[in-house]
Amino acid sequence: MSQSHEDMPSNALLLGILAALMVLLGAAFSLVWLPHGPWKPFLAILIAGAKAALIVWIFMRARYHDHTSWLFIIGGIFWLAILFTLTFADYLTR
Amino acid sequence: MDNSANSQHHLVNDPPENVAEEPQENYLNEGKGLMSWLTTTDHKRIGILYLLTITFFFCIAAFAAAIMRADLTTPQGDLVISETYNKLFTVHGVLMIWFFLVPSIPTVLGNFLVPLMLGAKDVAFPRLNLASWYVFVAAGVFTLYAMVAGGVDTGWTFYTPYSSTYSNGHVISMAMGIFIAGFSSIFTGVNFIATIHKMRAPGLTWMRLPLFIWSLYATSIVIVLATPVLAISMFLVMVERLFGVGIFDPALGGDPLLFQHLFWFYSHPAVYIMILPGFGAISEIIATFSRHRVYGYSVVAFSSLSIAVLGFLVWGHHMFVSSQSVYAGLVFSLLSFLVAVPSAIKVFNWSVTMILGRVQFTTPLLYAVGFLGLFTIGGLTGLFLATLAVDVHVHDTYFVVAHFHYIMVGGMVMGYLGGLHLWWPKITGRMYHEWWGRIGATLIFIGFNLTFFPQFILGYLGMPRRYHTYPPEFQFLNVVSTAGATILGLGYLLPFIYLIVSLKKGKKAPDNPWRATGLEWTTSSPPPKHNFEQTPTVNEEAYAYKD
Amino acid sequence: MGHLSQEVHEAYRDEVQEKRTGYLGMWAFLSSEILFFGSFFLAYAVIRSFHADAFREASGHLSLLWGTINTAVLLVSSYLIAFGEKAFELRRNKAGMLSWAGAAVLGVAFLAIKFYEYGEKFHHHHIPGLDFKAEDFQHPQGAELFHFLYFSMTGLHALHLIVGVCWISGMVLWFKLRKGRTIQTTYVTTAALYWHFVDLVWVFLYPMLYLIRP
Ligand SMILES: [Cu+2]
Repeated sequence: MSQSHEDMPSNALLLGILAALMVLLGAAFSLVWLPHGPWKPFLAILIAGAKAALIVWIFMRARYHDHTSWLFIIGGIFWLAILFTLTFADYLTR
Repeated sequence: MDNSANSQHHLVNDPPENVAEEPQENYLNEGKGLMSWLTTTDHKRIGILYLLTITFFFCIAAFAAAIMRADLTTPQGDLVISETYNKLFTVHGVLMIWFFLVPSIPTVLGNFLVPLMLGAKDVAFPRLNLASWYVFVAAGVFTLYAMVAGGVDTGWTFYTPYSSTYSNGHVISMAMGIFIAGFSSIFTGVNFIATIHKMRAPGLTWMRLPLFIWSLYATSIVIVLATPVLAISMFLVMVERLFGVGIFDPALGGDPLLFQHLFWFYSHPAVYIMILPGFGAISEIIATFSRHRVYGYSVVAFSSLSIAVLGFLVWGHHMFVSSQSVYAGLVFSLLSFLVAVPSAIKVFNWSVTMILGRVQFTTPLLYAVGFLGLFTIGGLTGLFLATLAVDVHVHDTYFVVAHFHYIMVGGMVMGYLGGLHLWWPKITGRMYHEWWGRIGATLIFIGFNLTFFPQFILGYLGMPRRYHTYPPEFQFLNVVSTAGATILGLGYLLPFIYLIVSLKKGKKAPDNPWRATGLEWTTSSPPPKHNFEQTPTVNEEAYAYKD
Repeated sequence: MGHLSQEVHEAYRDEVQEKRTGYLGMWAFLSSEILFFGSFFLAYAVIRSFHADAFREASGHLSLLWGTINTAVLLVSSYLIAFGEKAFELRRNKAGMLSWAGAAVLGVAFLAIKFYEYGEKFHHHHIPGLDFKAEDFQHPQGAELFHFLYFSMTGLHALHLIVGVCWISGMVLWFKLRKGRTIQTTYVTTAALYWHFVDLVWVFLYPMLYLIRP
């Protein structure tokens, strides 16, 4: 299959993503020295989510493939959300 | 896909007697010897491997049930001691659910038919398909080892902390078997998803797919998204037992309800893993023998998908009498009622299809009609159980046992047997004996009702499940139930015998004995190794019956 | 099936169909993996909601430095896999093999660091169930559960990574043996997806386990 350049990321983009991931890692790492608060774990997970989004979007080529695979990317996350929401619907209302 | 014309054309030029004289090349005689079977990547042969394996597990599990029913004829339970009885219902549940019901239609009929119905040469990942069978066998070995080594007494639900801390059985080995069996399911699910998305013949759009494919697609989604959660719940039970850590043990800081949440997140949708493929087979049978397109095709197709999604929102209805919060209970109860809607839609649509069509009461159709009756009873009693207050009364009684047997045995096994009969000529190239078939289907229907209807009454009167002794006033209904089980057993024995006999003595099957639509009927019976001489092209909707 | 090229499995019409099917199939499998690790995340969240202080305290007994280094190691390896995948597709097989070999080496480095960390835990008698020194903690019950989750989650992750290292290095070796012949990009795509996913799991394990320290 001859691959055109549009359906794959450029070298610069790949490097840019790596740099962004490292910056995010630095941000997460420096969280440890910030004062405590209930927001901290959420911020840490938010940063992890941003990293994950970059990896899925570019490294895993979600941007370049047909949308069928999206069904399963989003499906997996959505079903995980069901598991969390309904389980905590129990734990948080006891 | 002008099937009726095609098949008639075929019948004129190539009558069955002619087929009998010169055996054609097909998937069965292509390659001989055990090794050619054990190393095959042909989806049809893998379907046969699964057929043999799950039949083996069905027999063991049915035997365990037979001993239990015999034991229950007397209030004192004279046949086995309590401990043995506990091990019997555990092995019956584990084998029936994970080694028969869950794999039955997908791995046997699904493996055989999905590529045929799509006009494909094979599934998307043929080697993964074979791997799934080996994984399944390995899982069976662990489970059978646990059974032979001394058994497990936790019930198929493995509730913690009993299973993780206190039980003396071979829990680890059996949980390992279930853990491994899960991966076999996942492999099959992934294969079907990729196959249905990407391997359809030219012209075979989503809205032209047979409903069997729709239901297997929905099933695969449930398998792929639910099974890993079961795997983790089993993994945690095993590790907790091995190392004595208490993630599910309140005495050690853990929470037993966490196990129940994880377990039922899988095990409620597992009901749909079992019943959705049954829906698919029933749709095909009813369309074929009513000679009519399934009424409301798209509604039936999408109801499968909506069941796949809604089925994940209701697991808490198994935990109404645990310490689950009452507010969560309310939500789960409401959502449970919702699942009844798409199921009911299907039953109505099938009934209307039969009213609109010209019904032929063949063996598969008898199974389908039986399915409609039993599934409706099972579904309606499910509404009782989804009602919070009623559930408190009937929870953990025979009412529950009767309910899920109506769904899973009355519904699913009827669908499986009906489908097996419908496609038997395609799979084996032989016709089974029609009259014996009808007698078998009728016996199963009568035997089933006689076995399980009394259990609704017993449960409502308060007989708890999983005990082998009971107050003497329950004896009459228990004896009726056991008598019914005998008839049911006979009913299952019949197809076992006449189907095997048909392999030798049955008439050669023509390519399309039922004059049905669908790509699988356009190829020869049994099909050649690569299914079709040329890739077929589809240019009309499914079930285009013209007579 | 003579009319098909040798490189396409006989079930497929052409390589495009094969590659798209492989990509979709792998994502379907990964959606399953999301729920697989996701159930562990749920167990973590529930148990942590019972033992918040103990989890914070126990997290302090993990090495933040090694955890952070390991995260960086995996992120770089993911970059190398993505770079190599592109190289394979452009038929620059040498560059592809080189960067994939580099990723496999980083994978091994991650495992080495992980097992060093496990060794430290053995050394300090912080093995839940078998050898757990409760005196080291103010909240020993929750700390033991934290360590249990730590070992199970990182252990399962390490298992996935071992599979990934074998897969990637096996493919590099195989490509090398088949020198001069075209490389099926389907196999490249699926292996790359798997590797990135294993990386993704760690991206979430890192804040859950290492960053909640006091
Ligand atoms: Cu349920």
